Order: sequence, then structure tokens, then C-alpha cells
Amino acid sequence: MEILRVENLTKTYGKGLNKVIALDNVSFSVEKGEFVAIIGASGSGKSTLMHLIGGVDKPTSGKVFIDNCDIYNLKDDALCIFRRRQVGLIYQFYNLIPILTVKENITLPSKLDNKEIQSEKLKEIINLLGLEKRINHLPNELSGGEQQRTSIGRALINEPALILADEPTGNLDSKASLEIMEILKTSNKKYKQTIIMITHNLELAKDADRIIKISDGKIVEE
Amino acid sequence: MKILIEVTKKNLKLNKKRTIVTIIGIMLSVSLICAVGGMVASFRETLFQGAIYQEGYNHLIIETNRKNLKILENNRDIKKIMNISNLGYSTLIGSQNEYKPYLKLLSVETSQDFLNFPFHLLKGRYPANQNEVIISNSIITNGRVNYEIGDTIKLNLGTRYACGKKVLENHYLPNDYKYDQDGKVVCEDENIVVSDTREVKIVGIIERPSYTYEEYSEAGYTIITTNLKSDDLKSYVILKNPYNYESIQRDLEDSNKFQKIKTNSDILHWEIFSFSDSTMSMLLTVSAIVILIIVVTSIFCIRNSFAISTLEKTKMYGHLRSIGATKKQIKKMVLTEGLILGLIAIPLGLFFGILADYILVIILNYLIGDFLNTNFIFTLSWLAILIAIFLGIVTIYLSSITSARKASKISPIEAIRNNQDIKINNKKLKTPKIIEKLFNIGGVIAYKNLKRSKKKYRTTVISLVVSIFTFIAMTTFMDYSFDLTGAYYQDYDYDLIISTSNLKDEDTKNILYLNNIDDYFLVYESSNYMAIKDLDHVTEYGYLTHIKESEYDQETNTFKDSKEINLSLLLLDDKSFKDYLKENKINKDIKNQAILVDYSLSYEENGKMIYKRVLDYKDNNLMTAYDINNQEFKFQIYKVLKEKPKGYENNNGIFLILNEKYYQDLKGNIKTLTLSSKYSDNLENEIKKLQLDINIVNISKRAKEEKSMAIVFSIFFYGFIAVITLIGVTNIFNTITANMTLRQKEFAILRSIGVTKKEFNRMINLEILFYSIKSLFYGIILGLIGSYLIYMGFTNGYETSYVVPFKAIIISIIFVVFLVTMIMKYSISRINKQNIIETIRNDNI
Repeated sequence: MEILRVENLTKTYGKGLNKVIALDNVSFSVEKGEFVAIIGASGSGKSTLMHLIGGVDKPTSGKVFIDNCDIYNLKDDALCIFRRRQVGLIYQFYNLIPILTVKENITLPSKLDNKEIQSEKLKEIINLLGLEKRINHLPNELSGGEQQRTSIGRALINEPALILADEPTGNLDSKASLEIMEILKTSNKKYKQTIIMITHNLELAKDADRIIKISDGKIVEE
Repeated sequence: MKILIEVTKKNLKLNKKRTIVTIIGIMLSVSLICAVGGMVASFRETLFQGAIYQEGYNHLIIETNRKNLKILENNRDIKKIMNISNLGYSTLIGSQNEYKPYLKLLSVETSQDFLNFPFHLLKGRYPANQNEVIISNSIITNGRVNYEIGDTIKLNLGTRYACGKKVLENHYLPNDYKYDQDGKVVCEDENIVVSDTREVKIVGIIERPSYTYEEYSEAGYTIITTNLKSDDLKSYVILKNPYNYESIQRDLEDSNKFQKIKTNSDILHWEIFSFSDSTMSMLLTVSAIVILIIVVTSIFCIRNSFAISTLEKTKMYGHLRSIGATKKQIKKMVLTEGLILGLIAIPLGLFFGILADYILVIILNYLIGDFLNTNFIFTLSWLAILIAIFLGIVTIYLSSITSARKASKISPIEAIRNNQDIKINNKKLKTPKIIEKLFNIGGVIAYKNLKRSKKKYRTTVISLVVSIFTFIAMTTFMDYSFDLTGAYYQDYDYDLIISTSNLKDEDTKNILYLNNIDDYFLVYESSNYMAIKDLDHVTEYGYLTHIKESEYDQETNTFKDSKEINLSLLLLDDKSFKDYLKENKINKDIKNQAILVDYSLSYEENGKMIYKRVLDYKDNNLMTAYDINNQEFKFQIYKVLKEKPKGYENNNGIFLILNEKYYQDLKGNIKTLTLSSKYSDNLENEIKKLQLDINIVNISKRAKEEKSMAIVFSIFFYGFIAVITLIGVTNIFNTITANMTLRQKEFAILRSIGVTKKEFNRMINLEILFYSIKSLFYGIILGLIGSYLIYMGFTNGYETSYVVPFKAIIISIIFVVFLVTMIMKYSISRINKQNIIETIRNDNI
């Protein structure tokens, strides 16, 4: 089943002579349960692609379908709600809310939906992340790896159609990086969680089902 | 180092809005201090100049003689002595005032001293020698003797004697001269024993000298010459150091050489602020509160903006440190920032403070100059300016030095990696479960946010609290001061009132013939003393207020119960009586029946005012009263009313109102005539032209004056509150916008994980709610305490009940919610404009 379809996606910045084409007519699709790695050098347009898929930026032209929904056809608030239910975002710098505890950060998307937290499910995720002893800590009391695991938890909690991870290990040492990769792989295998990961680390990308290489805003290899 | 100062300057320019707001904050603080001080100085100068005009510039007035004058001349504490000799009385031929049959010749011993005395020429010049005099204008206006400049007066000067005794005092033949101990007349008249005869020429006419120079009861009109000296003189003394006047006065008194030493208290009031202890302590308390409010708000404001600006630049300082700037250099940067801000803001503040004073003085002169004798004088208060500068510098320095220390302590890595200024832990952020239940996760985030930035939160709350407190307390102050002084004349529906026993019936007629009178109301007071002796008709309230222990018994030195209740008889002329009935909706001609007015306002324990009766007579009852000779009078009461007749609105007591036509024999001398006119000022002048010995109270003029006074007070108080609030607003603006900017990234994260705009705004609104509730809570409580204290201070001796200033409270609630909402909305709109990714990526290195 196709979970993501990107159609002729183009993003340009600036005008006239200053015009920069960040993404040039990109099209591809991802099946449910796939683990896709997008690789490319700095400035190749991979982050732009990810932000466009995640619905936090707007394309110049082209369309993105998640679960057969044309996300840029949605109104601002509807897109917001769609995002929190269907897309999990993981950033290089974790981007946790500093005043909320680990548990609160993880459950935040579901609480925003006023959903009852299934304690079973929460427990399972926390076990998976290995954060049992950390749930009442604030982000600034955690190591980088732990913070990133928390942000994975936050991405997983709503069982989104798609997880987008932007250089999830970019700021971590190799041991923590491996842990994060393990968790991502496990969630992919165990929950059939679709994951799109952006990285420039070829080693990490090898763990993925599929690798898409981007250069100068175009897919050059698949 | 130059480059760092350049960086600082650039930073100030880049954060233009914050810089401007900070400058405004400092400026307002400085100008407020400057303006308040300047206003006080102007008031003082005005009153001081007024006192000099009225009393002349000197500190002590010493009655002495030639011999003891030497003692004064040798006194080192005395800077200058100006003597006025008394040369005695002379009969004023043709004086129309039987209480002032004399001229009293004084001599300013040195002619140059004329300018130092409050003798103000209306015409002519000051005397140059002993053959010339100036005369008081009241000889012409009051004594009706038509002297003119150039006239010569022949003076037979001497001392007044009565029954062989010298008349020392000013009084025209005092009673203890006239009567002996048994009250028998022993001496009909006094006479002058002439000792000197001279002829003087009038060279000038002056205003009537103040009561210091010609007492109220003085028997002679003042004429003044120069160069002459007598042994009966007063020395008007200027001290080298007026602050020591008390000890100097005491020393002189202890020498036992001087009969009487008076202080020139008006001068001392305003020159060295010598007041009675209670007045002084009141003045000190008021100024202490005012200064405290200004200083606290200013310090908060300035301190806060520096803390914020440092916080915002944490990262920059970190970067600078990482490329090798020393701690010292960073410190210097922050201090330079303070210096630049101070250099701009303090002079601007002084300028605006002085400008505000100048404009206020103009407004004051425009509004109340008419009925102040002197014009308001604008003065610069160097002390206030110095204090303002000093306070500005000190606050800026202290604020920037703490920020500078903080900035210099930032380690490069800390700054670059983490922009969290405060180390937070979970305990501090504990949120009551109720918040989540009530407001969901948005509420939790909002609540935690406030707790996280406790310090900033606190400054905001305190700024608001100060404004709310000042507003509520000041409003009460205004309300009470107007309650006591003002609104007195405003409710009357007539324009002039004459109340006197000097008005003859034909004069009344003459007045009523005048044009410009739209309506009149005439009341005669009965000269008969009337009392109700039948105590069965007294109510319980009446018994407590009028009977119980209300009569002083001289023998036992105690109070005893009274046996009667006094009744005032008011006789209205036929037309007024009918008007009065009409106003009270009685359309019957009731002729020789009476109206009883017997309702007194009484304060209940719950603070409400209600009407109470003293007597229990009802409509159509027959009332019996007795006059002083115990003669019985019977009055048929037609109706009991609340409304007192015109002119008696503020009189207390029980009134029996009758038609004068049917009770001619009860009429007394005292008349109260009220007049309505569209041209009350003209009418007043016309009546004055009739030259009757009556006092006219121009109600509409007084009401106008009152209104102007109220406006003046309002300008002062609300101006003060407005500026204090503005300082607070700059503070709050700084805090909230800074807080918003610092949290930009968090907001972006929230948006990226799917918080809708609506939910986001709701979260911010909750923050507003928490802010406002807390500040309102403390502000209103403190405001109420303040207002109650003011009430206590005011009600010493006045029976007014405490009224909770609901209006002020509601206004502050609306104001706070409005203010905080506006500022937050402003910040949100700026945040919403930002691109999520930009913000998120912004911090990624």
C-alpha cells in the first residue's frame, strides 16, 4: 500500500538572479512499512524535501500525498492537526519542550488531541526507548542520546502514518547513534512503522530498505 | 576594544524597539522625578513669593526699644535689621468707621527699607523724608475720607489714654477699660494725650497693609513716613541662617530684654519648611510614598530592561568569548550599553520633565490663576534635577553592572549550546492537577512557562501590582479629598446667597428691583428661641442624639441630659413659601399651617446613610412649642418634609417653616436671600454698587473655582498615575516581548508537532489569564489596604463611611487584561509571522 506519494515537487527561494532552486521536480513514492534513507551532501536539498513532506514548509509547485491526502490542499489548522496525527518528526537537535518532562514531551501530541493516554502503549514505547528511569526528568537533565530517544517517543506516540527523521544521529556519538538506529529499525520491524530518514552518513543509510540519493535538488539515484 | 563598542552600538540599533522602549522607560522615570520635584519647587516658590508679597521678607519680628536695639545689632546671627517706629495716634477727621477713628503714624527708619516691606503702592511713591507719608488705601475705601496725593495732613500725635490708663493694645477702647468688675460703666471714652504736632504731605497710596502691620482690630489707619525714630519700635529681622530661628528666638527671649518676639511663620513655612509636627509628618509621609513609588517602578523598569537585553545577547557574548574577548571586555560592553542609553535617556527625561512642569504651570495659571492672588511661578528645582540624574545614573549603573557580571560569566560553550538562562528542575515546575483538568495540556504549558521564568514573571506582576495599587489608592484619595472640599457648591440651584442681619427691608426691595434676577427666595429667621418640651414626642434616635447628655452643667463640670429640643423657625415670604410648597408638590394654599422639616441623615453601622426622625409628629398633628419666656405656641403641622428651604441645605436641625405673612410678630433680623441669575457676576457687581454692609457669596463662581480645582487635582493625580503606569507598561512590554522572543523556538516546535494556531493562541491567552489574575489579586488587595489607610487618615473628625472603590477596581481589571492582551497579541502576531523551519533551523549550527 502506498503511504506517501511525492509529485513533481519544486521549491525555489529568492527571485531573479538570486533565485535558488532547492528542489527540482522531484517525484517518488513510499510503501507502507518501508524504511527509506535519503542521502545527499550538504545543500543538496534533502532537508527541504523533508520539511515539505512534513508539511511545515510550502512548495513552490507540486503535490504531496500522505495516506492519499493532498496535504497542501488542507487549511493551515487542518494541516496542523493532520501533521500531529499522521506525521512524526525527529530533528537533529531533538527540539523538546524544555519545561516538560520526558513523559509529558512524549505524550504531548496525544494530549493535544485530548486523547486518553493508553498506559500500556506508553509503557511499551518507554521500554522500547529504554527511558524507564528518566520519565520524570526534564530535557536539560538528559544526555543527547536520551533526548533524541524522547523525541522518537514523541514521534511514535500517535502511531503516525509516517516518521520523518532529519539527521537523527547528527549530533550524537557513535554509541548513541547506534542505539537510535536500533530503535528506529525495531519500530520499523515491530510496528510496521514507515520511516523516512535523512542522513549524509552512508553507513547508517545501509540499514534502510531503500536509499534515495539527492544532489542539486534532484533525485540522482535510487 | 573599539570594535566591541561598535558591536554594542550596532546591537542597540538592531534591537531598535527594545532600545527605544528602554530609553522611554528611563526617560519617564527621570522626567517624573524631575517633574514632581519641579512642581513641588514651583508650588513652594509661588507660596514663598506670595508670603513675601504679603508679609515681607524677614524671619523674626521683635518688639523693642532704642536701648535693647544694640543687643540685636551686636547679634552675630542676624543679617539685617529693619526698624519701624511707632509715632503714635492722631485723630482722623471725618472717619466714617466708628471703630477706626485714628491715624497711626509709623516710620520706616531707613527709607531704602521700604522695598523690603510689603507696602504696595497703588499710586505715587515712597516717602523720602519725615515730611512725606504714604497712606493706606482703606482710609479712602473704608474710612471714606477722600485724601489724595499732594494733600497735607496735620497730625496731633500722642498716646491713647482711657481712665488714666494707657491703651496699649490696638483695640479701640477694650471692654476691661469700659467696665469694672461688676459690669458698671466706668469710662465712656478715651482720649489722646498729644506730644507732637507735625504736618505731612501725602506722596503715595498703598494697599491696606497685612494684619502683621495693621491688625484686624487696629483702631487707627496706617500712614507711614521715614527717617523718624521713637522709642517704641519693632525690629524686622533677617537671619543669617533661618534654619536656626528657634534657638535664636529662644536665646533672645531668655535675655528678658524683649517683650514680644514673633516669627514670620509664612516665610519660615516656605523658606525652610518649618511646619507643625503633624503637618510635617504628613508632608513627609506623602512625599516618601510618592518617591518610593517612583523609585521602585523606575528601578524595576531599568533593571529589567538590562537583564533582558543581556539575556537576549547571551549567545552573542558567548561567541565573542569564544573568539577571545576577555571577561573585562564583555563587562565593558554591557556598561557601555548602559552609558549610551543613559546619555540619551537622562537628558531627554530632564527636558521632558521640565517641559511638563512648564506646561503644567501655564495650565495652572489658566485654570486657577484668576482666584489665586498671585500667579503661579515656574521654577527649576536643581535639587530635583540632581536627584533625577543621580537616581538615573545609579539605577542604570547598578542594573548594568549586575547584567555585566552575568554576561561576563557566560562560558562560550554554554552560550553556544544552550540558550536556557535558568537551570530548571522538575520540582519547581510542579503543576497542580486542576490546571490540566481545567485547561488541558495548553494550560499546563502556560502555567509551567510562568513558573519557569519566575523572575521575569515576577517583575511583570510587580509592575502591574504597583500600577493597580497606585491607581486604586490614589482614586480613593481623590474621592475623599473631593468629598470633603469639593462638590460643596455644585448642587445648588441658585447663584448668589446673602445671609445677614444687616439687610433692611428696603435694601431687600432695592436688591429685588435689580435687573438680571431670574428668581429669588427669601427666608426670615425667627429671633424667638423655640423649643419642644414635650419629650413624649421625641423618637429613640432623637433621644440619643439630642437629649442624652447634651447639656453642659458648669457646676458639676459634666454633661447632663437636656430637657428640650431646639426648634428653628423659618419664615418664608409669601412668594417663597408658595414656591417651596410647589417644589414639594403641595398645591394647596395652607396659609397659617406649618411645614415640619425633621429628617436627619444618619450613618448606620453598615456604612449606609439613612434618614431618621427626631420627633414623631406626623402630618396634621398639632405641635406645642415654648419660647424662652415659657410662652406657649401652637402650630398646626400640614406636612412633614425632608427638603430644607433654599439657603439652608447644609444646616442641621429641626425646622418649622411658616408663611411670613401670617406670623409677622415672629420675624427676626436674620435674612437669607438667594438669587438665581444667568448673569450672576453682573448681578453681584450691581448689588455691591448699592454699598450695603453685606457679604455676598457667589455660588456659581465658587462652583466654577471648585471645578477648576478639581481639574487641577485630577491633572496632577491622574498625570502621576499615567506616568507611573507608562513606566510599568514599558517594563511589561520589555518583559513579555523578550519572553516571547526567547521562546520562539519552542513555539516553532509546538507548531511543528501539530499545535494549531487556535490552540496556540489559547495557550498564550491562558498565560495572560494567569498573569492578570495574580497581579490583580495582589494589586487589588494592596490597593484596598492603601485606600483604607487613606480613608482612616481622612476620616479623623469626619463622619464618612468607607466605600470600597469598586469603580477603580473594575477599571484596573479591564485595564490589566487589556494591556497584557495587547502586548501578548503584539508578540504573537510577530511570532506567527515567522516561518517554522527558519526558527527551528535558526539555532542549529
